[in-house]
Amino acid sequence: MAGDMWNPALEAMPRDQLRALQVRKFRELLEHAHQHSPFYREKLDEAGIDPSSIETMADVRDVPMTEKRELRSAQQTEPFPYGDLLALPMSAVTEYHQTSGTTGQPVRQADSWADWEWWNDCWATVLWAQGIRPDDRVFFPFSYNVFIAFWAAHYACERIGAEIVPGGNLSSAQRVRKMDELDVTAFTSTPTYVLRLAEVAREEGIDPAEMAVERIICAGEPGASVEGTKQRMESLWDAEVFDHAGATETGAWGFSCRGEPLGMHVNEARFLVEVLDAEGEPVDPGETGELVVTPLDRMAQPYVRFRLRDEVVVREPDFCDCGRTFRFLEGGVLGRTDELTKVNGVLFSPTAVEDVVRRSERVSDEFRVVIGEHETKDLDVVTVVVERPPEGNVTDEAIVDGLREALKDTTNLTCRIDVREYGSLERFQLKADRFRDERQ
Amino acid sequence: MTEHDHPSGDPTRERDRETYDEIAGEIDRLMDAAARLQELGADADLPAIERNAKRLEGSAQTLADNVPRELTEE
Repeated sequence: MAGDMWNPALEAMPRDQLRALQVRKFRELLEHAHQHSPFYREKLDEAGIDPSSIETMADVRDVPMTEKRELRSAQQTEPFPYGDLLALPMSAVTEYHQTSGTTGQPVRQADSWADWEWWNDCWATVLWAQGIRPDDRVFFPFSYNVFIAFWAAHYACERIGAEIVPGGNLSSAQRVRKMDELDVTAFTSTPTYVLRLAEVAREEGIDPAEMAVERIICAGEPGASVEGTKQRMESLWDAEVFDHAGATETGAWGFSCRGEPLGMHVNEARFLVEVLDAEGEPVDPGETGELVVTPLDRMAQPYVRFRLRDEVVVREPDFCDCGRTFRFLEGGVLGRTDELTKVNGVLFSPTAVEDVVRRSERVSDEFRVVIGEHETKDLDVVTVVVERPPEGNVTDEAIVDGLREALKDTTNLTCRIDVREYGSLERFQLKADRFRDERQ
Repeated sequence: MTEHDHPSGDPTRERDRETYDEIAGEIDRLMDAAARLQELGADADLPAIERNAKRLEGSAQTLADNVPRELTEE
């Protein structure tokens, strides 16, 4: 499947060479960060790390990790607005973006022109693997602004030679009509908005499955690696759905390919990705761990061993048959470590609810999960709020019975099901916020 | 002169033919390299080389448009 590789020289590189490349680039990045970023100089000096001494992966693991909360305080210093994180002169910064702020005060992100080229080339790796080619016409239903979201995907399409249709500042109905009018062959979106656009298309009298869309590139949420959500999207649009993982701080580090298993490859030629247990040691293949990512080529505002707080199951490269030598994350990003919570002593992930709801044909695409206390105050209660489908005559009783049983099988919990009118739950355009923990 | 002052701040400054000739020559080499990289990338099935070189050709064309032949030919 070399034809699906943007750069087979990197994507099929022998593992020993790949490991040597990662350690060498990590050392160079660390030297750069130590020399030019006051934040990293202080952090590394405090830990007694000499960047030039990094020679093995064991050395890498001695380097302290970077936490998101550290970034916010480091940006309170000069030079405004990047503070002590900046590792190039301000005059070298060409791009400003910021995080979405989902988990607090946004982090400001500086990129140089070379960094921006790196971002776009990483996204080109993603899009080429997913079948985007120069003859594609790609729609971006994205409100272009300070949030980095699909900016780099836009420029990656340009790099590949595909035609870009910028769909910012349009209503959802206008977007769907434009996509239909232009016969776009692909679009990028969060899974939440993929489903919403299908809903809007039907309201506009357009069957999304009849449109020219052949591929949908998802980002921002784990839905495209959640079986139920992926199936629902593919069925509604009659298109292939792909996943991508990235973050403002790290860049586009993971992507699904056209191979069989559900999940994502890690772009190990551009990122050093560690999957660690609670003690900070690497987990074995097949085990769950926390993702720690170092973008190896980003210089204006570097990140060293950044804790993404994502839970993943790592597999050896041959878990996927595409020929890449990059390791594979089975099922993609399983959830955020700060969203995993115990309910009545049982570990609970909201992503598990998403899979069950999206597999059901008896409810709409939208839902909410609320964890609260039982009236007796001695038990937790998970309430899943769903909507009736837009058409059909399924009874509420059937919806409740079906979901409760499926949720019991998946989560080991007996959930309460709250069935509401179709369209009563708010719809989202970018990342959805469907989970609420109301316990004291 | 600070790092942000651009030479175009002094439009009366004289630039000789040799300077333009040298710039145009470097651009030609860049164009040739971009074309060759496209060929090599395509032959070796390396889209990252072939496609990025295509983009480089576009950038080189912008450079060439900024040194038209009227500046380099008698």
